[in-house]
Amino acid sequence: MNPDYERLYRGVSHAAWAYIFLYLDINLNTLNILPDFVCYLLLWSAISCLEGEERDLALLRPLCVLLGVWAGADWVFTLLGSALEGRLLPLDLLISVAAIYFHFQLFTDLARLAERYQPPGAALGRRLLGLRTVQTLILTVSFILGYSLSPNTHLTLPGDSPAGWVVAGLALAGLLLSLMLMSSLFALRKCFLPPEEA
Amino acid sequence: MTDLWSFLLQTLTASGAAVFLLVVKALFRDKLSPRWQFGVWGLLALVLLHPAGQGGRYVLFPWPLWLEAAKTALTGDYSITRVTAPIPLPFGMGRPEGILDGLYLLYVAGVVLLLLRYALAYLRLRLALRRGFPADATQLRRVAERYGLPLCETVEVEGLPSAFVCGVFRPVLALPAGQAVDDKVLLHELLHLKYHDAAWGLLICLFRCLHWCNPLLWYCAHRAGNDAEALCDQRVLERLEGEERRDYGRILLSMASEQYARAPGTSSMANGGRNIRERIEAIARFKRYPAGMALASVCVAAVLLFPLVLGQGQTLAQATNLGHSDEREFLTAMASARLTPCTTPAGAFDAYGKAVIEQNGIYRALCAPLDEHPALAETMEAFAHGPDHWVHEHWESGLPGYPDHSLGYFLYNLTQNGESYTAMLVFPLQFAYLDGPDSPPVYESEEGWHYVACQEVRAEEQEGRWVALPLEEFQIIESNMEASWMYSGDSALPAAMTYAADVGGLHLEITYQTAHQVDNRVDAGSTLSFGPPSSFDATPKPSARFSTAHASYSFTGTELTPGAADLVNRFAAAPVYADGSGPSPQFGSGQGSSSDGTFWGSARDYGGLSGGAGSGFGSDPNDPPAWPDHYRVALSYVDGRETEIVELWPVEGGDSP
Repeated sequence: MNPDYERLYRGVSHAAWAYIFLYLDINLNTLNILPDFVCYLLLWSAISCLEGEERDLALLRPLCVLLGVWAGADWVFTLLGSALEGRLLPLDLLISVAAIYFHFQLFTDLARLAERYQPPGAALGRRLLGLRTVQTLILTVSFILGYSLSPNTHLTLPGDSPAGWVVAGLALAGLLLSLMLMSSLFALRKCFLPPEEA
Repeated sequence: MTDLWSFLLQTLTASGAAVFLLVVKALFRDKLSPRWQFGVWGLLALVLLHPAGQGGRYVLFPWPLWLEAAKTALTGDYSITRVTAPIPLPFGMGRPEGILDGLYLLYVAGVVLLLLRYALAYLRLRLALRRGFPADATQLRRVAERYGLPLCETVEVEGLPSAFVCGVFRPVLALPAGQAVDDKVLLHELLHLKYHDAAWGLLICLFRCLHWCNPLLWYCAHRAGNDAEALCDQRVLERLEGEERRDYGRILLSMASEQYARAPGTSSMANGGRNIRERIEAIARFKRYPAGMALASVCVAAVLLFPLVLGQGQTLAQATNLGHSDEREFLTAMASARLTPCTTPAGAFDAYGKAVIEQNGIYRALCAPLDEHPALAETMEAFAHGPDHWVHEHWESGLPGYPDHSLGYFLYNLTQNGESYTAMLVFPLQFAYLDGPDSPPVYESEEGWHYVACQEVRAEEQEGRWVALPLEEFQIIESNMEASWMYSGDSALPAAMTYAADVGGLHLEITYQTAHQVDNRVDAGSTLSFGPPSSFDATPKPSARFSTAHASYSFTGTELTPGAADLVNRFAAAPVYADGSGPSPQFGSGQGSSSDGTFWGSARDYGGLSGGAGSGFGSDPNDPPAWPDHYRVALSYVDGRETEIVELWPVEGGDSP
């Protein structure tokens, strides 16, 4: 069966745009005009477009719903001047681990797609896998730090309060990573352009 | 676990973690490998092995808080439930009294009986294996060599339904006598042997015994056992190819109705029809998980590790607006005060100061010795149910006036005495009852100064928490300082130390005062000006640290011989510390001071011998306060005499710290 390039192109486009919503926050007062829940709506759409090529992607649907609903509820709470995060630790934790797995598996599947469709000699698949690994590590360290440094854990990092530096370093690494992820996804999208446009 | 409450705390803490892990496992059921599915039970094992509620910390759900509140409601006991070990320790309990001790003994007896039952089952199995005869190891050796697996003693026993490994330290592989055993079954059992699954089974069995009356943990133990088998299936499938894998599934299916060994320290491929159905489903999902998947598995487990093992510190529950009759909220607030220890001396002083200002007994409980909690609670109950119908948190400190809530409190003359600290808490008053609470309030003195209430308070560590102990009744003093500037000292208040000397018909005296502060500004970020806070945060900070420490000193020279002061031209003073260090007194221009503690002045210009100033002191306000050992004062005279250096030594309050 011939691949539906247009559908694949649309799927990867949605994934690339989704990460713009996830990683970039532009706030008007308390209103984030690039809300995270839109990311998960776009990723839901991306999964629908791409699951024919990567069957494992369908496994991510429940997690996509969970993360999307959480992000939507959080956006509403923030809009109302409150915060959803920190209200119930078990739920926070569940969302954290779901996010780690979801993004890890999504990029694993996208990397497989890249391996199949990238031009000969290109290393886009390997690049996506590398970025996936870095993203997973950054997310993990952020969640662990977020928990360890929260006010009622009473834990501090050893040394002369390096927490600020660690957090700043993570933020910088996260910013660079997000730019590279988005650029790689847009590069992957090009693999599905009709030959005359590529 | 030394009583029923500590057992309940341990088992409930583990139950909360277990429910959470079951949800996480359900979320990742078809996503993460059997290795992860079994390995993640290790987190529950860590929770079970870690004494619950240590330092008031809780795992996921605030069990210590709920349990303490329930305990007080049921028994009136205000002690803290402590889990010293994750196993029952009946020895320190003393003579059992009442139904709770009886229930605890019943629990301990259950543990012992279940352990005995399992031990007997294991012994019986080992005896049965002894009656077996050594098996022909040719087939087994071939399988072991093919897959690079270790071997152990193998026996054939009549009447066994299926093969199993028994024992942790001297494992024995038991095979059914007179029956052909498939290579894949042997492979399965040898993999159990290689990965010491019998030892894991023994540990699971131990947890079953310790929490025999907790069905949720029994269910988890059952699930963990099944996950161990599913992991072994996964390991087998990783070593088989094509049709062999399908054969393995068929063998497993054929065991669905077989009996199996349930003794501890054994592992058997057959483990019941229902479990085998789940394992068959897992086999249907079998795939060689990509190598990178290990990263996601480890990361997910790492994120779960911290909250599940380290837990979270308890914070103070709602302690204001408790209303008039809500016992549950009152007991919860008192429990949270018990479980939220003040971890610093500053935290204890801060909680006490705010308890006085807010007349809040929950705040007082936060920094009160635990043995005072019952009396404190009784007082608060009496206020709440008394004729005045106070709110439930109402507490009276004996403050002879009404505090200024916008200014809070000030902490003067902090001294370290061995392991404890003493300080004078100063409360600016909006009005004072100079002649008792029944007399009319007085707002200010005739000179227009406000009144302050002072009390000497000691902070010391008791049972791992810093407590504040008032050492005297409040005394009312007419202040000499604008209330909002009291953080910089007030000469009307007692000095930390007075240094004095007599020279040339003069009595020279320096009074030295310190003031420590916790940052209680409500919006510290927006306050740019140096000075007192515009709004005071009345919520206690049990882990507070001092944000500033200020020393102030005032110098006076009074005439013992009339006219002696007229002979002095200029003066300068400098502190000398215990190690002999300190700046030299320097005559500056006019009257002034330096941040190193020196100050100077001109007696002639200002018409008298007086001066002083203040500065921050110590590089860290939380360091033990070090006051000057003595002062050096330089005096220059108008009659051409040489400048004289005079040493002023402490005259009251003993040695400087």
